[in-house]
Amino acid sequence: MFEYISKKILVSILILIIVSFISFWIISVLPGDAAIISLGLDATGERLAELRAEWHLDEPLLQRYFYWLSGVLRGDFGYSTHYKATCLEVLQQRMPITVTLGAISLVGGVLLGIVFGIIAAVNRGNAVDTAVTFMANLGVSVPAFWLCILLIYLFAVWLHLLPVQGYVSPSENFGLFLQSACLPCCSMAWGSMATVCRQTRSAILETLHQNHVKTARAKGLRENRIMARHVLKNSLIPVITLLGFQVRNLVGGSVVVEQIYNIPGMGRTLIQAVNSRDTNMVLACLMIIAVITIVASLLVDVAYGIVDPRIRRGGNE
Amino acid sequence: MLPFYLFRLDASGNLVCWLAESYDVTDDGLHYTINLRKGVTFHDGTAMDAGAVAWNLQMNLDNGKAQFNRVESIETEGDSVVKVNMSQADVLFLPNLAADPCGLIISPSAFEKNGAEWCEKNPVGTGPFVFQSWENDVKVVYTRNDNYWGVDADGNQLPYLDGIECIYMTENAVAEAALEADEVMVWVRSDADSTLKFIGKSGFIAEKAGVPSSNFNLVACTETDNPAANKDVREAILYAVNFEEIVDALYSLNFVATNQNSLPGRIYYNDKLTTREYNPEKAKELLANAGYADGVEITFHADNSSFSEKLFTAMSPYLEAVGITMKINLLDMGGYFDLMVKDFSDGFLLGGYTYAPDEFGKMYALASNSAALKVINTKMDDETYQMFENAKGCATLDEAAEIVKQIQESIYGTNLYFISVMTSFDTVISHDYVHDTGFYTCAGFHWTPEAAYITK
Repeated sequence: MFEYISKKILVSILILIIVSFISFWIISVLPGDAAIISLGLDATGERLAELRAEWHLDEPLLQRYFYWLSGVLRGDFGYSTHYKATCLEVLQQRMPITVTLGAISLVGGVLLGIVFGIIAAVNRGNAVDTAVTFMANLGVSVPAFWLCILLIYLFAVWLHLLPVQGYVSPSENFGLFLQSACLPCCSMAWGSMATVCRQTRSAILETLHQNHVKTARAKGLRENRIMARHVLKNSLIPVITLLGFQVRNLVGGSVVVEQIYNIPGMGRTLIQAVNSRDTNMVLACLMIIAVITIVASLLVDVAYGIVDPRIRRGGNE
Repeated sequence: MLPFYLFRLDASGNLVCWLAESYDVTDDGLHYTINLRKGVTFHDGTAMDAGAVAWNLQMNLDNGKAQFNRVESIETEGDSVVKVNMSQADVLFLPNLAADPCGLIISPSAFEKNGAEWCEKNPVGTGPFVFQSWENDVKVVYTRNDNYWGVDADGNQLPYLDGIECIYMTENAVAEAALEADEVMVWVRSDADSTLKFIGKSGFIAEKAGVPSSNFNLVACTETDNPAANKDVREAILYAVNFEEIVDALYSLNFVATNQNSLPGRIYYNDKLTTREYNPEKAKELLANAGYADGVEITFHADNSSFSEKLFTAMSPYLEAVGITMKINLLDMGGYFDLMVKDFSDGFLLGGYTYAPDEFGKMYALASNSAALKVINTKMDDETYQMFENAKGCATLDEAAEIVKQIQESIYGTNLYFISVMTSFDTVISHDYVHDTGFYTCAGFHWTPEAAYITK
């Protein structure tokens, strides 16, 4: 197991380095001069030159990359030209918001997805299954942007139950945090819930027809016990696979959701940074997203190894 | 929001005193005497006196601001008089003191105590509301300035409100919802389509600014071998597209079609400008003269806003009808700026001149030979460039206006370097229980809600 995890970690580090270089290269070759964006078209040539020198914009790509990478290895993501602060300061404020909302959405979406998947599977073919499947199909096909606007109008404008936009930190006011987090979390969780629900339903239905379940039934075990011990456990692997994707989707989805609900998280920061050619901030956000995605994939791989030992042994046994 | 300007410009573009009580300028335009309002203090409690104002003006001079390139020296006389001596007359000097970035008057004590970086994020001015906090791209919070110098007509202390919170919203649909849910009271610079939805809606007031905000032009690439360098082609475009119809149909409230960088009633408007009414046949004739009888493809560059997309989509069938195929290139802001200063090599560029401080001021800053960053591969004749300098060198606005009218004729009439498309106005939507917000009683960036009040 140790060898298996070590190998995965080494591959992950290599992927991170490749991702960092590709990101750096792309953001560097994009048209746009951060100095002009920052100072505007009224800026004098001298001031622009000063700023470009200060931000190392005139140096060759590789030199800038290694300069940036050495900073990152020391925990310094550089100075954000848009936010006028170090990237670390900005991210320390904004990353917890995205992580909090993402975690709530992930846990809520996955748990509810599994529950609804089970409900649909055990009620296969009847009205409950049809209703759950319909909602799940709707969930995977509805664009996040549209869903957000719909939820805003329903719960904030018409019913006046929740705020339209904004974010309140739980440490500031927990009640207001729950209110402000409700719609964004529902918007983010909806897609995950639908995907997990569909996958759980399919996996359970497939497992229900396998021989070991038929044997358990023939032995006279109760249906609840069969479901808990024989069906659910064996249906977990495809759902675990999905978890890695869901983490990635949630991080990506936060860009849209935070933009719409006016939440100062990492997604919104990334958009603002791209628009203002704030290279350091874009790279910091991208690296964090890459780390989250890679760690999630790593955990999924490790979970595979735990759930199914054949995987970590390379499928030889 | 934080009025720390010496002057402001009213809806007609006239200079109005603000932190300055009065001013005087010599006939040759070389010496200004600015008398300051007495008893005004900065939010940190220090006095807004001649020393503080001179320090602010000197900062502009020391930092080489283009708006101060004709300022020779700045002096003080007593506690409330600042004198500015010019090397040459500059009709834009006072209007520039009513606009960003040179007109801001901040507390020198706060700057010296905390440094430039702190001041950038913590403005210490003299306005009716005191800056409390700023979260980039999220919100700015202000509280009432109990020591504000302003009083209403009955002598009551201003401002009336305890504070103001400005929230940045990027999605129009969300801003509409926030307004409808009564989560925000006022939506400043509302989107045109949203504004139309709120006109006549019970409980809301949608208003257009009295002051225009930007003039949009198609700037021709004149310095490379491309169709836009040919005046006949530029003229053909003006004849081929019915801009008035497009603006009325698609932009309505916020925009008005214009043939120059000004509007009727303003001092710089040339009512005798050579105009070209919509005439597709004439357009075809001109294209044939230019050697494009069989059609031509022209690139139109712009930022990737819905405004540009809508305009180009509407122009396309008009141009197609006379044989011009539009190749559209929409760029994000970084790419757009890069194109302007490095890569513009064919066709037209859609660009706006803000009215900051006014239409001539911005045009001088961006299009004259003295512009810090000119649009590459776009050039006018020497006579027109000289007119820019002559107008700026006038001692009075009236003298300058006569020359600016000639510049309008050269740019938008005779030579058609630019095709003027439309002028925009900012709009504001508010609940009907919010009164006297102070929006657009002067140029948009001078929002002074000291008299605003709520009847809820």
